[in-house]
Amino acid sequence: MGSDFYTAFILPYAGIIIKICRAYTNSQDDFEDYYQEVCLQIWRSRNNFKENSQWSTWIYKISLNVCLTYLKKKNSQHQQFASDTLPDEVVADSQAFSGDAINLLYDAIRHLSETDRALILLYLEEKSYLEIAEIIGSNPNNIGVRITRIKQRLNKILNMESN
Amino acid sequence: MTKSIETIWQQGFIDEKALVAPKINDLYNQKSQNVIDKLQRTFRLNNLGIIIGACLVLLVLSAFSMPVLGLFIAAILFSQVWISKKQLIKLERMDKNISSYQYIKSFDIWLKTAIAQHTRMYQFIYPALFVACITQFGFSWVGQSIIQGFQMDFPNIPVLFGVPIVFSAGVLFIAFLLSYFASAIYQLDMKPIYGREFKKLEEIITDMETLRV
Repeated sequence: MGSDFYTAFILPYAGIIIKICRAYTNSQDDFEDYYQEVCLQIWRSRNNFKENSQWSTWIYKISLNVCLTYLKKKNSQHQQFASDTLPDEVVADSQAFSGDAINLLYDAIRHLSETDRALILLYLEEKSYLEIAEIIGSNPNNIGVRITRIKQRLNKILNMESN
Repeated sequence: MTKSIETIWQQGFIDEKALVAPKINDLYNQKSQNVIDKLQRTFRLNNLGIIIGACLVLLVLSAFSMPVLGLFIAAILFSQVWISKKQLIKLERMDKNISSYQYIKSFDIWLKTAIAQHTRMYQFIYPALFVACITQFGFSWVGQSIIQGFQMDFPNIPVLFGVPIVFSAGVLFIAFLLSYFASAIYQLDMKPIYGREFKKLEEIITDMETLRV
């Protein structure tokens, strides 16, 4: 990969990729693998980008499509993120997630189905129902109802975790 | 839990620039773990193996004075490569810049078509290879002496094209079994490698379809 492309077109949007990959992985190793894969696929698919949508929307699409079709390595160690289990430990990734609450929220999101994770991530990223429907490929009328249900489920999980 | 999930999210990423991207080294030369890319690699590798195998079979059988059998087997194997190549081109054309549903669905359609085509091929290839090998064996001096010995021991058994009918029936039965189990063998072959991912994709498609109604 040309480092110029990475610096100019991926790095400014790394936040999107990090947030999505983190929701689909349980360990730091997996997270790094997913992140690399997304970057690789963005670079490979760069010529398919049509300027009728925003680059950030495109990054969301590729990131989700990659996370949904990633082949996990066999025998991968299922160590949790250091920041999920050891909040005081200094690890590079934990700098990205500023508090225990966000780590608990991620933990709860990982309990959801693959599709629900995608929906709630896009919702939390303040995408409109129309944009979510476009990225996921669904009927916008159903998005609101599903998101309400996902939020209820997340709150339930969070309440259970906090008790 | 008093804070809403929206607040937790916003507060969790107050300074988005603080998000630390993992270090990536020599990314371009890394192997993709995407299910589609991995299948592409498997197909390419299989095709290469089949081409090498077909050439070897042709050379070895020709060296042992069986060029017709060699050509037949090579032709069957090359037809498999040709079909796989066509499937690979379709897979390579798949665009990642489409909605998640379209992306997964088009991959699923491709996968089901590819599996169906391969299954049909193997249902024909396995018995054809078996019958070809047995026929060649039948023309060899060992095969001829077995047939002649059998005819002397059982002179009343009817013969078709110089071969006792029980032999032909036996060969056809085994060929039928090979054809019948080809599909199951192929599915068993795929399941340990991709079974978990295929199941995951099925679940995602079913889930996403409920959102499309």
